[in-house]
Amino acid sequence: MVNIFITSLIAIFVSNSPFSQDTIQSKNSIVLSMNAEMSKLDFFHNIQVNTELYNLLSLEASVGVNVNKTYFQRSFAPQFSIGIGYDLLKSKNRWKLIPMIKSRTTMIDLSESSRLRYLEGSVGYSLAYGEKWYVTQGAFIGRGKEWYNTIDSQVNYWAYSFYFGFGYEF
Amino acid sequence: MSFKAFQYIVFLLIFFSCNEKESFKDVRIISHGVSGLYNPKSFHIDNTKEAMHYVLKFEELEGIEIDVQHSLDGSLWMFHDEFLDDRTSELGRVCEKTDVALSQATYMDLNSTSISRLSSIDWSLNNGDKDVYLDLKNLNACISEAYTPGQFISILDEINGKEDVNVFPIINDTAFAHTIHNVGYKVFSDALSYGEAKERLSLFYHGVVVRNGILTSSEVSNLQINNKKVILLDMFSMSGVRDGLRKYPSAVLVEDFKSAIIERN
Repeated sequence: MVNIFITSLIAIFVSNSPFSQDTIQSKNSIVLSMNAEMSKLDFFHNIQVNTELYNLLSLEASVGVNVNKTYFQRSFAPQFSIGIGYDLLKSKNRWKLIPMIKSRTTMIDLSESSRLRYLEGSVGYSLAYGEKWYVTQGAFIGRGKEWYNTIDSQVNYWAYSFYFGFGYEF
Repeated sequence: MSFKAFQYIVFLLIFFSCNEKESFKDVRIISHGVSGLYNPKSFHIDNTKEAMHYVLKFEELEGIEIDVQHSLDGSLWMFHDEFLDDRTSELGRVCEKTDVALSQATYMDLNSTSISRLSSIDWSLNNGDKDVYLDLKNLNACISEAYTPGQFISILDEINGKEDVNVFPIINDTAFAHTIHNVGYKVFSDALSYGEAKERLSLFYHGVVVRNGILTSSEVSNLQINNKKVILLDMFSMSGVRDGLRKYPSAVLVEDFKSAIIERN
C-alpha cells in the first residue's frame, strides 16, 4: 500500500514537475482572446492573454475598457486584471477548465479633479473549448473596494463578473 | 469578409468618438432615492443611512432626493413604498408602525440592512454644497394618524443650513405644502402632465418634478419662466439621461449618479 502511494507520488512529480523531461520538451502556448464582460461595475471589453507557467499553472492577464464610459461617454476608463489557476482537464481533450483566483483594477474619472478607483479579488473559473480557435467563458465572484480621491476606502462590495469571448492559440 | 467587418467596427468607433460633446454644466444632478431607486450598480439599498453616508461624500453630486414617511409616533423614516411587505421583514404601512417596530424591521438583503430613521444621518459627512429634497410620501395613507406641518417644519429646520445642506420639501398636498411655504421653504410638487405642472407653478410652488417622457424641451423652458424650477425624472439609461439633459431642465433626478455626472461634464 505504501509502495503504491510512493510510486503514485513519483509519477505525479515526474509528469508535472517543472524539472521533468516532459515540461522541458513541451511548447508554451499563448492564447490571445477578446471578450465581453459584465460585472457589478459595468460592461467591459477586454483583450486577454493566457499562457502556462512550467506547464503546470495557467496564467491569465487582460487589459480592457469600460464600454459605456469609454465608447459612449468618451471618458476613458481602463481595466487591468491578472489571474492564476490550474487546468483540471490538462491535455485530456479540447476543453480547458481552469479554476482561478483573479485580481482586477479599474478606474473612472468623475470629473477633471476626481477619480474613482476599484480593486477586486475574486475566485471563479475560466472555460475554453477549441484547438487553434477557442471559445471562452468565465465567471467570478469576490469582494471589491472603491476609493474616491483619497486613500481611504469608501466602500466594500460584493463583486461578480461573467465573460464570453473567442481567442486564437499561437 | 471578416476584415470588412473589422473595418466597419473601426469606422463606427471613430464615428462615435468624433461627435462633439455637448455641455450641460448648468443642469444639476440629483440622485433618486439617495443612491438610485433602480440602480443595479449601487452598493447600498436605496433610502438607507448607509447609502446616504456614501453619497454625501461625493463633492460632484449636487442633490439627493430622500423618500420619507412618518411613523405612528410622528418620526420620519426613509422608505419609498407605501407598504413594507415586499421588501422588508415587516408587514403593513410605515405610518401604522411605531418607531420601535420600524427600528426592528430589516430589508431582505444579505446584510439585513435596517430601515433608517432620518434623524440617524450624520450630516457632517457632507462634502460640498448639497440640495436635499425631502419627498414626503403617503401623507394621507393613515387618515387616523395626522402628521402636522409643524412636525415637518421642525425636521426641516434641523437639517437646513447644516453642513452646507439646503433642504427642499416635495409635497403634493397643497394645504400642507402651503403651510411649509409660508415659513420660507421653497416647496416642490410632483406633476403628471404639462398642464398640471403649469397649474402647480402658478400657485406658490417653487418647482415641479415631472417625468422626462411627458415634457418637450420647449415645455420645459416654458415652465422655467419666473425662475421656476423643473426637475426631470424617469431616466433609467444613459441615453435617457442624455435626452433629459438636452431639454436643459433645472435638474435631473437620476438612478446612477456617477454615470450622470460624467455625462453632464
